[in-house]
Amino acid sequence: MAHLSPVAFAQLGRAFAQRSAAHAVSWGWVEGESTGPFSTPSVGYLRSSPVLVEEATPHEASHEVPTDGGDDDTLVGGASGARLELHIVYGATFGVPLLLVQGYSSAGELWTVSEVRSHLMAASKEGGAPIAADSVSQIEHPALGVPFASLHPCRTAEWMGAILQRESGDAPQQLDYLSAWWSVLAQSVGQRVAPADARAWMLSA
Amino acid sequence: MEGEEALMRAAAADAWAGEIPAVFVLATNEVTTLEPPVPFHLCLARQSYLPFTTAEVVDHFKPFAPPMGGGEPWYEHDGQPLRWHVPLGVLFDLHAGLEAEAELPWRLTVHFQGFPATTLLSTANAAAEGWVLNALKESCFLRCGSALPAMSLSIAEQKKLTHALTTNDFREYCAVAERISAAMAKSLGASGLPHSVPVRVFTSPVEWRQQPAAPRLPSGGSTRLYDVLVSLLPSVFESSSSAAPRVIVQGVSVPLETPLLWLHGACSHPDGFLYVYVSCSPPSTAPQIA
Repeated sequence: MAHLSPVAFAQLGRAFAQRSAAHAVSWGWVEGESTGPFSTPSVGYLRSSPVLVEEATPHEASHEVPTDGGDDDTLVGGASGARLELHIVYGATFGVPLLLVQGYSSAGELWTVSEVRSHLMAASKEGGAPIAADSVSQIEHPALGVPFASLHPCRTAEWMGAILQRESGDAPQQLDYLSAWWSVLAQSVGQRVAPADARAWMLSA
Repeated sequence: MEGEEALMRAAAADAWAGEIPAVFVLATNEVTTLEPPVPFHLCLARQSYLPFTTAEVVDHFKPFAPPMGGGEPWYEHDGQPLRWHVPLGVLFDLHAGLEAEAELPWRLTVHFQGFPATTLLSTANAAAEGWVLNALKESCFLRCGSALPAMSLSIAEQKKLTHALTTNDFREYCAVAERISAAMAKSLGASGLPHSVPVRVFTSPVEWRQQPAAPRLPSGGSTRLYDVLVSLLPSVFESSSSAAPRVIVQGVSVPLETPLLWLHGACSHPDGFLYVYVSCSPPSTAPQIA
Protein backbone atom coordinates (compact mmCIF):
# COMPACT_ATOMS: atom_id res chain seq x y z
CA MET A 1 0.00 0.00 0.00
CA ALA A 2 1.39 3.41 -0.92
CA HIS A 3 -0.08 6.60 0.45
CA LEU A 4 0.82 10.28 0.15
CA SER A 5 0.62 12.99 2.76
CA PRO A 6 -0.98 16.32 1.77
CA VAL A 7 2.45 17.97 2.01
CA ALA A 8 4.10 15.38 -0.24
CA PHE A 9 1.21 15.70 -2.71
CA ALA A 10 1.70 19.47 -2.88
CA GLN A 11 5.46 19.14 -3.38
CA LEU A 12 5.06 16.54 -6.11
CA GLY A 13 2.21 18.55 -7.68
CA ARG A 14 4.33 21.69 -8.06
CA ALA A 15 7.18 19.71 -9.63
CA PHE A 16 4.73 17.84 -11.88
CA ALA A 17 3.33 21.14 -13.17
CA GLN A 18 6.81 22.44 -13.97
CA ARG A 19 7.83 19.33 -15.86
CA SER A 20 4.60 19.24 -17.86
CA ALA A 21 5.19 22.59 -19.59
CA ALA A 22 6.51 20.97 -22.77
CA HIS A 23 3.85 18.27 -22.93
CA ALA A 24 0.65 18.19 -24.95
CA VAL A 25 -1.41 18.43 -21.81
CA SER A 26 0.28 20.86 -19.51
CA TRP A 27 -0.62 21.32 -15.90
CA GLY A 28 -0.79 24.27 -13.58
CA TRP A 29 -0.56 24.04 -9.80
CA VAL A 30 -3.27 25.91 -7.94
CA GLU A 31 -2.39 26.69 -4.33
CA GLY A 32 -4.94 25.82 -1.67
CA GLU A 33 -6.87 28.65 -0.10
CA SER A 34 -7.96 29.37 3.43
CA THR A 35 -11.71 29.20 3.82
CA GLY A 36 -13.70 30.26 6.83
CA PRO A 37 -12.02 30.05 10.24
CA PHE A 38 -10.11 26.81 9.50
CA SER A 39 -6.45 27.02 10.49
CA THR A 40 -5.07 25.21 7.46
CA PRO A 41 -5.85 26.05 3.85
CA SER A 42 -7.34 23.38 1.60
CA VAL A 43 -4.76 21.25 -0.23
CA GLY A 44 -3.80 22.68 -3.63
CA TYR A 45 -4.50 20.84 -6.88
CA LEU A 46 -3.34 20.43 -10.47
CA ARG A 47 -5.42 21.80 -13.33
CA SER A 48 -4.82 20.74 -16.93
CA SER A 49 -4.77 22.83 -20.06
CA PRO A 50 -8.01 22.21 -22.04
CA VAL A 51 -8.15 18.79 -23.70
CA LEU A 52 -10.05 18.95 -26.99
CA VAL A 53 -12.39 16.03 -27.52
CA GLU A 54 -15.35 15.05 -29.69
CA GLU A 55 -18.75 16.40 -28.78
CA ALA A 56 -21.00 14.18 -26.70
CA THR A 57 -23.87 12.77 -28.74
CA PRO A 58 -27.51 13.62 -27.94
CA HIS A 59 -27.83 10.02 -26.74
CA GLU A 60 -25.38 10.78 -24.00
CA ALA A 61 -27.37 13.73 -22.83
CA SER A 62 -29.83 11.29 -21.29
CA HIS A 63 -29.14 10.26 -17.74
CA GLU A 64 -28.71 6.58 -18.52
CA VAL A 65 -25.64 4.63 -17.57
CA PRO A 66 -24.41 2.97 -20.77
CA THR A 67 -24.66 -0.78 -20.80
CA ASP A 68 -21.88 -3.14 -21.80
CA GLY A 69 -21.15 -2.97 -25.48
CA GLY A 70 -23.09 0.21 -25.90
CA ASP A 71 -20.17 2.53 -25.62
CA ASP A 72 -18.77 2.17 -29.12
CA ASP A 73 -21.23 4.61 -30.58
CA THR A 74 -21.28 7.13 -27.78
CA LEU A 75 -18.98 9.57 -29.53
CA VAL A 76 -19.46 10.98 -32.96
CA GLY A 77 -16.79 12.00 -35.35
CA GLY A 78 -18.16 15.50 -35.77
CA ALA A 79 -16.17 18.66 -35.49
CA SER A 80 -14.31 18.74 -32.22
CA GLY A 81 -14.75 21.75 -30.02
CA ALA A 82 -15.82 20.12 -26.82
CA ARG A 83 -13.18 20.10 -24.15
CA LEU A 84 -12.28 18.32 -20.98
CA GLU A 85 -10.86 19.95 -17.91
CA LEU A 86 -8.82 17.59 -15.77
CA HIS A 87 -7.96 18.19 -12.15
CA ILE A 88 -5.71 16.10 -9.93
CA VAL A 89 -6.67 16.65 -6.32
CA TYR A 90 -5.64 15.11 -3.02
CA GLY A 91 -7.97 12.35 -1.87
CA ALA A 92 -7.84 12.92 1.88
CA THR A 93 -9.48 9.66 2.92
CA PHE A 94 -7.28 7.23 1.02
CA GLY A 95 -4.22 9.51 0.91
CA VAL A 96 -3.86 9.17 -2.86
CA PRO A 97 -4.20 11.44 -5.91
CA LEU A 98 -7.69 11.65 -7.35
CA LEU A 99 -8.53 12.35 -11.00
CA LEU A 100 -11.49 14.68 -11.49
CA VAL A 101 -12.99 15.39 -14.90
CA GLN A 102 -15.37 18.03 -16.19
CA GLY A 103 -16.56 18.24 -19.80
CA TYR A 104 -17.91 21.20 -21.74
CA SER A 105 -19.61 21.30 -25.14
CA SER A 106 -18.33 23.65 -27.84
CA ALA A 107 -21.09 26.04 -26.73
CA GLY A 108 -19.64 25.98 -23.23
CA GLU A 109 -22.41 23.88 -21.70
CA LEU A 110 -21.47 21.57 -18.88
CA TRP A 111 -21.55 17.84 -19.66
CA THR A 112 -23.71 15.70 -17.44
CA VAL A 113 -21.97 13.04 -15.37
CA SER A 114 -23.42 10.45 -17.80
CA GLU A 115 -21.73 12.23 -20.69
CA VAL A 116 -18.42 12.31 -18.85
CA ARG A 117 -18.83 8.63 -17.91
CA SER A 118 -19.56 7.65 -21.52
CA HIS A 119 -16.57 9.59 -22.74
CA LEU A 120 -14.22 8.02 -20.20
CA MET A 121 -15.50 4.53 -20.91
CA ALA A 122 -14.87 4.98 -24.65
CA ALA A 123 -11.51 6.72 -24.18
CA SER A 124 -10.23 4.16 -21.70
CA LYS A 125 -11.33 1.30 -23.93
CA GLU A 126 -9.38 2.83 -26.80
CA GLY A 127 -6.42 3.29 -24.48
CA GLY A 128 -6.45 -0.43 -23.68
CA ALA A 129 -7.46 -0.09 -20.05
CA PRO A 130 -11.27 -0.01 -20.04
CA ILE A 131 -12.97 1.28 -16.94
CA ALA A 132 -16.33 0.12 -15.60
CA ALA A 133 -19.38 2.41 -15.58
CA ASP A 134 -19.61 2.27 -11.81
CA SER A 135 -16.05 3.49 -11.34
CA VAL A 136 -17.13 7.01 -12.34
CA SER A 137 -19.33 9.12 -10.11
CA GLN A 138 -19.76 12.73 -9.11
CA ILE A 139 -18.11 14.15 -6.03
CA GLU A 140 -17.63 17.59 -4.57
CA HIS A 141 -14.29 19.11 -5.62
CA PRO A 142 -12.37 19.28 -2.32
CA ALA A 143 -11.00 22.77 -2.99
CA LEU A 144 -13.69 24.35 -5.18
CA GLY A 145 -16.77 22.73 -3.65
CA VAL A 146 -18.41 22.19 -7.05
CA PRO A 147 -19.45 18.91 -8.71
CA PHE A 148 -16.86 17.02 -10.76
CA ALA A 149 -16.89 13.49 -12.15
CA SER A 150 -14.35 11.35 -10.34
CA LEU A 151 -12.60 8.06 -10.98
CA HIS A 152 -12.90 5.99 -7.82
CA PRO A 153 -9.61 5.80 -5.93
CA CYS A 154 -10.40 2.78 -3.71
CA ARG A 155 -7.55 0.56 -4.94
CA THR A 156 -5.05 3.24 -5.95
CA ALA A 157 -2.80 2.73 -2.92
CA GLU A 158 -2.72 -1.00 -3.69
CA TRP A 159 -1.62 -0.79 -7.33
CA MET A 160 0.68 2.15 -6.68
CA GLY A 161 2.33 0.04 -3.98
CA ALA A 162 2.91 -2.68 -6.58
CA ILE A 163 4.44 -0.21 -9.06
CA LEU A 164 6.70 1.40 -6.51
CA GLN A 165 7.84 -1.94 -5.14
CA ARG A 166 8.66 -3.24 -8.63
CA GLU A 167 10.64 -0.11 -9.44
CA SER A 168 12.43 0.15 -6.14
CA GLY A 169 15.40 -1.93 -7.34
CA ASP A 170 16.16 0.68 -9.97
CA ALA A 171 15.78 3.97 -8.20
CA PRO A 172 14.56 3.62 -4.68
CA GLN A 173 14.74 7.30 -3.85
CA GLN A 174 13.88 8.83 -7.18
CA LEU A 175 10.58 7.41 -8.30
CA ASP A 176 7.97 10.15 -8.55
CA TYR A 177 4.69 8.88 -7.17
CA LEU A 178 2.52 11.40 -9.01
CA SER A 179 4.13 10.84 -12.40
CA ALA A 180 3.95 7.09 -12.04
CA TRP A 181 0.28 7.42 -11.11
CA TRP A 182 -0.46 9.67 -14.09
CA SER A 183 1.29 7.33 -16.51
CA VAL A 184 -1.37 4.78 -15.60
CA LEU A 185 -4.41 7.05 -15.26
CA ALA A 186 -3.72 9.04 -18.45
CA GLN A 187 -5.16 6.19 -20.53
CA SER A 188 -8.53 6.58 -18.85
CA VAL A 189 -8.92 10.03 -20.36
CA GLY A 190 -7.54 9.20 -23.77
CA GLN A 191 -4.05 10.56 -23.08
CA ARG A 192 -0.91 8.62 -23.76
CA VAL A 193 2.33 8.98 -21.92
CA ALA A 194 5.12 7.55 -24.06
CA PRO A 195 7.11 4.92 -22.13
CA ALA A 196 10.29 6.97 -22.44
CA ASP A 197 8.50 10.06 -21.18
CA ALA A 198 6.93 8.13 -18.35
CA ARG A 199 10.30 6.76 -17.30
CA ALA A 200 11.94 10.16 -17.53
CA TRP A 201 9.11 11.80 -15.61
CA MET A 202 9.09 9.20 -12.93
CA LEU A 203 12.81 9.33 -12.36
CA SER A 204 13.29 13.05 -12.66
CA ALA A 205 12.00 14.00 -9.26
CA MET B 1 -18.44 0.72 30.93
CA GLU B 2 -21.57 -1.34 30.30
CA GLY B 3 -23.67 1.59 31.37
CA GLU B 4 -21.86 3.84 28.91
CA GLU B 5 -22.37 1.31 26.14
CA ALA B 6 -26.07 1.12 26.89
CA LEU B 7 -26.29 4.89 26.98
CA MET B 8 -24.50 5.09 23.63
CA ARG B 9 -26.90 2.61 22.05
CA ALA B 10 -29.88 4.50 23.45
CA ALA B 11 -28.48 7.76 22.07
CA ALA B 12 -27.99 6.15 18.66
CA ALA B 13 -31.63 5.01 18.68
CA ASP B 14 -32.68 8.54 19.66
CA ALA B 15 -30.61 10.00 16.84
CA TRP B 16 -32.42 7.72 14.42
CA ALA B 17 -35.77 8.76 15.82
CA GLY B 18 -34.96 12.42 15.18
CA GLU B 19 -37.21 14.05 12.60
CA ILE B 20 -37.65 17.56 11.26
CA PRO B 21 -41.12 18.84 10.47
CA ALA B 22 -40.94 20.39 7.00
CA VAL B 23 -43.32 22.02 4.56
CA PHE B 24 -42.63 21.97 0.84
CA VAL B 25 -43.99 24.55 -1.59
CA LEU B 26 -43.62 24.66 -5.36
CA ALA B 27 -41.51 27.58 -6.65
CA THR B 28 -44.05 30.25 -7.64
CA ASN B 29 -42.53 30.77 -11.08
CA GLU B 30 -42.96 27.06 -11.81
CA VAL B 31 -46.69 26.82 -11.05
CA THR B 32 -48.42 26.02 -14.34
CA THR B 33 -52.00 25.79 -13.04
CA LEU B 34 -54.51 28.55 -12.22
CA GLU B 35 -54.51 27.58 -8.56
CA PRO B 36 -51.20 26.79 -6.90
CA PRO B 37 -50.89 23.36 -5.28
CA VAL B 38 -51.37 23.09 -1.54
CA PRO B 39 -48.11 22.82 0.42
CA PHE B 40 -46.91 19.34 1.33
CA HIS B 41 -46.06 18.60 4.96
CA LEU B 42 -43.60 15.86 5.82
CA CYS B 43 -41.40 14.81 8.73
CA LEU B 44 -37.86 14.39 7.43
CA ALA B 45 -35.61 11.82 9.10
CA ARG B 46 -32.45 13.44 10.43
CA GLN B 47 -30.34 10.41 9.45
CA SER B 48 -31.54 10.29 5.85
CA TYR B 49 -30.95 12.33 2.69
CA LEU B 50 -33.33 14.37 0.53
CA PRO B 51 -33.44 11.95 -2.43
CA PHE B 52 -34.48 9.05 -0.18
CA THR B 53 -37.35 10.88 1.47
CA THR B 54 -38.94 13.12 -1.14
CA ALA B 55 -40.60 10.75 -3.65
CA GLU B 56 -44.02 11.72 -2.27
CA VAL B 57 -43.18 15.40 -2.55
CA VAL B 58 -42.29 15.02 -6.22
CA ASP B 59 -45.49 13.05 -6.89
CA HIS B 60 -47.55 15.71 -5.13
CA PHE B 61 -46.23 18.65 -7.14
CA LYS B 62 -45.64 17.01 -10.53
CA PRO B 63 -49.16 17.68 -11.90
CA PHE B 64 -48.76 21.40 -11.17
CA ALA B 65 -45.22 21.86 -12.44
CA PRO B 66 -43.74 22.23 -15.91
CA PRO B 67 -42.22 19.11 -17.47
CA MET B 68 -38.74 18.40 -16.17
CA GLY B 69 -37.43 17.64 -19.67
CA GLY B 70 -34.78 15.18 -18.53
CA GLY B 71 -33.88 17.36 -15.55
CA GLU B 72 -34.31 16.48 -11.92
CA PRO B 73 -36.04 18.05 -8.93
CA TRP B 74 -34.07 20.09 -6.43
CA TYR B 75 -34.77 21.99 -3.23
CA GLU B 76 -33.82 25.28 -1.70
CA HIS B 77 -34.19 27.02 1.62
CA ASP B 78 -34.19 30.79 1.79
CA GLY B 79 -32.70 31.09 -1.69
CA GLN B 80 -29.89 28.58 -1.08
CA PRO B 81 -29.89 25.29 -3.02
CA LEU B 82 -29.73 22.35 -0.61
CA ARG B 83 -26.80 20.01 -1.12
CA TRP B 84 -28.59 16.67 -0.91
CA HIS B 85 -25.40 14.70 -0.26
CA VAL B 86 -25.23 16.18 3.26
CA PRO B 87 -27.45 14.26 5.74
CA LEU B 88 -30.79 15.97 6.31
CA GLY B 89 -30.29 16.68 9.99
CA VAL B 90 -26.96 18.35 9.27
CA LEU B 91 -28.51 20.36 6.43
CA PHE B 92 -31.20 21.58 8.79
CA ASP B 93 -28.69 22.57 11.49
CA LEU B 94 -26.57 24.41 8.92
CA HIS B 95 -29.44 26.29 7.31
CA ALA B 96 -31.98 26.72 10.09
CA GLY B 97 -29.99 26.46 13.33
CA LEU B 98 -30.97 24.74 16.55
CA GLU B 99 -34.43 23.18 16.35
CA ALA B 100 -35.56 24.95 19.52
CA GLU B 101 -34.85 28.32 17.91
CA ALA B 102 -35.63 27.59 14.27
CA GLU B 103 -38.83 28.52 12.54
CA LEU B 104 -40.79 25.31 12.14
CA PRO B 105 -41.91 23.67 9.99
CA TRP B 106 -38.77 24.02 7.90
CA ARG B 107 -39.91 25.76 4.74
CA LEU B 108 -38.43 24.27 1.57
CA THR B 109 -39.07 25.26 -2.03
CA VAL B 110 -39.30 22.58 -4.71
CA HIS B 111 -37.97 23.18 -8.22
CA PHE B 112 -38.53 21.03 -11.28
CA GLN B 113 -36.54 23.20 -13.67
CA GLY B 114 -33.19 24.95 -13.75
CA PHE B 115 -31.22 22.29 -11.88
CA PRO B 116 -28.07 24.13 -10.69
CA ALA B 117 -25.57 21.62 -12.11
CA THR B 118 -22.60 23.78 -11.17
CA THR B 119 -23.64 23.71 -7.50
CA LEU B 120 -25.44 20.43 -6.79
CA LEU B 121 -24.43 16.86 -7.48
CA SER B 122 -26.78 15.04 -9.82
CA THR B 123 -29.16 12.55 -8.25
CA ALA B 124 -29.70 10.64 -11.51
CA ASN B 125 -28.93 6.93 -11.81
CA ALA B 126 -29.33 6.13 -8.13
CA ALA B 127 -26.48 8.52 -7.36
CA ALA B 128 -27.68 8.94 -3.77
CA GLU B 129 -27.36 5.20 -3.07
CA GLY B 130 -23.88 5.27 -4.63
CA TRP B 131 -22.95 8.35 -2.62
CA VAL B 132 -23.84 6.76 0.71
CA LEU B 133 -22.04 3.54 -0.16
CA ASN B 134 -18.89 5.40 -1.24
CA ALA B 135 -18.93 7.50 1.95
CA LEU B 136 -19.35 4.29 3.94
CA LYS B 137 -16.29 2.84 2.20
CA GLU B 138 -14.34 5.96 3.16
CA SER B 139 -15.37 5.84 6.80
CA CYS B 140 -14.56 2.10 6.95
CA PHE B 141 -11.12 2.83 5.53
CA LEU B 142 -10.51 5.53 8.13
CA ARG B 143 -11.65 3.28 10.96
CA CYS B 144 -9.93 0.01 10.07
CA GLY B 145 -7.56 0.75 7.18
CA SER B 146 -9.66 -1.07 4.61
CA ALA B 147 -12.82 -0.30 2.64
CA LEU B 148 -13.60 -4.02 2.35
CA PRO B 149 -16.21 -4.18 5.14
CA ALA B 150 -18.40 -1.82 3.08
CA MET B 151 -17.31 -3.15 -0.31
CA SER B 152 -18.26 -6.68 0.63
CA LEU B 153 -21.89 -5.82 1.37
CA SER B 154 -24.12 -7.93 -0.86
CA ILE B 155 -26.61 -6.30 -3.23
CA ALA B 156 -29.38 -7.38 -0.85
CA GLU B 157 -27.61 -5.69 2.07
CA GLN B 158 -27.07 -2.53 0.05
CA LYS B 159 -30.78 -2.49 -0.75
CA LYS B 160 -31.56 -3.00 2.91
CA LEU B 161 -29.47 0.06 3.76
CA THR B 162 -31.31 2.11 1.13
CA HIS B 163 -34.64 0.87 2.46
CA ALA B 164 -33.64 1.75 6.03
CA LEU B 165 -32.83 5.30 4.90
CA THR B 166 -36.07 5.57 2.95
CA THR B 167 -38.26 4.33 5.79
CA ASN B 168 -36.12 5.54 8.71
CA ASP B 169 -35.94 1.99 10.03
CA PHE B 170 -33.29 1.79 12.76
CA ARG B 171 -33.54 -1.98 13.16
CA GLU B 172 -32.98 -2.60 9.48
CA TYR B 173 -30.01 -0.24 9.53
CA CYS B 174 -28.56 -2.02 12.57
CA ALA B 175 -28.63 -5.35 10.74
CA VAL B 176 -26.37 -3.89 8.02
CA ALA B 177 -24.24 -1.89 10.48
CA GLU B 178 -23.58 -4.99 12.58
CA ARG B 179 -22.39 -6.86 9.51
CA ILE B 180 -19.93 -4.03 8.78
CA SER B 181 -18.84 -3.82 12.43
CA ALA B 182 -18.16 -7.55 12.52
CA ALA B 183 -15.99 -7.32 9.39
CA MET B 184 -14.13 -4.34 10.85
CA ALA B 185 -13.58 -6.08 14.17
CA LYS B 186 -11.67 -8.84 12.33
CA SER B 187 -9.14 -6.34 10.98
CA LEU B 188 -8.91 -4.37 14.22
CA GLY B 189 -7.89 -7.29 16.39
CA ALA B 190 -8.38 -7.75 20.12
CA SER B 191 -8.43 -4.09 21.17
CA GLY B 192 -11.20 -3.24 18.72
CA LEU B 193 -9.96 0.33 18.82
CA PRO B 194 -10.35 2.03 15.42
CA HIS B 195 -7.34 3.58 13.72
CA SER B 196 -9.19 6.87 13.59
CA VAL B 197 -12.65 8.33 14.15
CA PRO B 198 -14.14 9.74 10.92
CA VAL B 199 -15.27 13.31 11.57
CA ARG B 200 -16.52 16.07 9.27
CA VAL B 201 -16.62 19.58 10.72
CA PHE B 202 -18.76 22.30 9.12
CA THR B 203 -18.62 26.01 9.86
CA SER B 204 -21.19 26.97 7.20
CA PRO B 205 -23.25 25.16 4.54
CA VAL B 206 -20.26 25.27 2.17
CA GLU B 207 -17.20 25.32 4.45
CA TRP B 208 -16.08 22.06 5.94
CA ARG B 209 -13.10 19.83 6.62
CA GLN B 210 -12.73 16.11 7.08
CA GLN B 211 -10.65 15.48 10.17
CA PRO B 212 -10.08 11.87 11.16
CA ALA B 213 -8.75 11.75 14.71
CA ALA B 214 -7.04 9.04 16.73
CA PRO B 215 -9.39 7.76 19.46
CA ARG B 216 -6.64 8.07 22.08
CA LEU B 217 -4.33 10.96 22.84
CA PRO B 218 -0.55 10.35 22.98
CA SER B 219 -0.93 10.64 26.77
CA GLY B 220 -3.25 7.63 26.72
CA GLY B 221 -6.45 9.49 27.55
CA SER B 222 -9.53 9.50 25.37
CA THR B 223 -9.61 12.07 22.58
CA ARG B 224 -12.31 14.65 23.32
CA LEU B 225 -14.38 16.58 20.83
CA TYR B 226 -12.43 19.65 21.95
CA ASP B 227 -9.11 18.09 20.86
CA VAL B 228 -10.34 17.75 17.28
CA LEU B 229 -11.91 21.17 17.11
CA VAL B 230 -9.01 23.06 18.62
CA SER B 231 -6.60 21.60 16.06
CA LEU B 232 -8.90 22.54 13.18
CA LEU B 233 -10.18 25.86 14.49
CA PRO B 234 -7.60 27.26 16.94
CA SER B 235 -8.71 30.84 16.32
CA VAL B 236 -12.19 29.88 17.49
CA PHE B 237 -11.39 27.59 20.42
CA GLU B 238 -8.22 29.11 21.84
CA SER B 239 -9.18 32.74 21.63
CA SER B 240 -10.64 34.21 24.78
CA SER B 241 -11.83 37.32 22.97
CA SER B 242 -14.20 35.72 20.46
CA ALA B 243 -17.74 34.78 21.45
CA ALA B 244 -18.20 31.19 22.60
CA PRO B 245 -18.97 29.05 19.57
CA ARG B 246 -21.85 26.63 19.57
CA VAL B 247 -20.98 23.06 18.76
CA ILE B 248 -23.92 21.15 17.37
CA VAL B 249 -24.19 17.43 16.74
CA GLN B 250 -27.51 15.89 15.68
CA GLY B 251 -29.23 19.20 16.44
CA VAL B 252 -27.99 19.31 20.03
CA SER B 253 -25.36 21.53 21.68
CA VAL B 254 -22.65 19.10 22.78
CA PRO B 255 -20.18 19.51 25.68
CA LEU B 256 -16.65 19.83 24.33
CA GLU B 257 -15.38 17.31 26.89
CA THR B 258 -17.41 14.49 25.30
CA PRO B 259 -15.13 11.56 24.33
CA LEU B 260 -14.95 11.50 20.54
CA LEU B 261 -15.26 7.74 20.18
CA TRP B 262 -18.38 7.66 22.34
CA LEU B 263 -19.89 10.56 20.40
CA HIS B 264 -19.21 8.78 17.12
CA GLY B 265 -20.89 5.60 18.37
CA ALA B 266 -23.93 7.55 19.56
CA CYS B 267 -24.35 10.21 16.91
CA SER B 268 -22.62 9.20 13.67
CA HIS B 269 -24.64 9.09 10.48
CA PRO B 270 -25.33 6.01 8.35
CA ASP B 271 -22.32 6.84 6.15
CA GLY B 272 -20.10 6.24 9.19
CA PHE B 273 -19.08 9.89 9.68
CA LEU B 274 -19.69 12.07 12.71
CA TYR B 275 -20.91 15.49 11.54
CA VAL B 276 -20.15 18.47 13.76
CA TYR B 277 -21.40 21.99 13.08
CA VAL B 278 -19.45 24.80 14.72
CA SER B 279 -21.49 27.97 14.69
CA CYS B 280 -19.03 30.82 15.18
CA SER B 281 -21.60 33.60 15.38
CA PRO B 282 -24.13 32.55 18.00
CA PRO B 283 -27.19 34.66 18.74
CA SER B 284 -27.18 36.62 21.99
CA THR B 285 -29.29 33.94 23.68
CA ALA B 286 -26.68 31.22 23.07
CA PRO B 287 -26.69 28.58 25.79
CA GLN B 288 -23.44 28.09 27.68
CA ILE B 289 -21.23 25.25 26.54
CA ALA B 290 -19.74 23.20 29.32
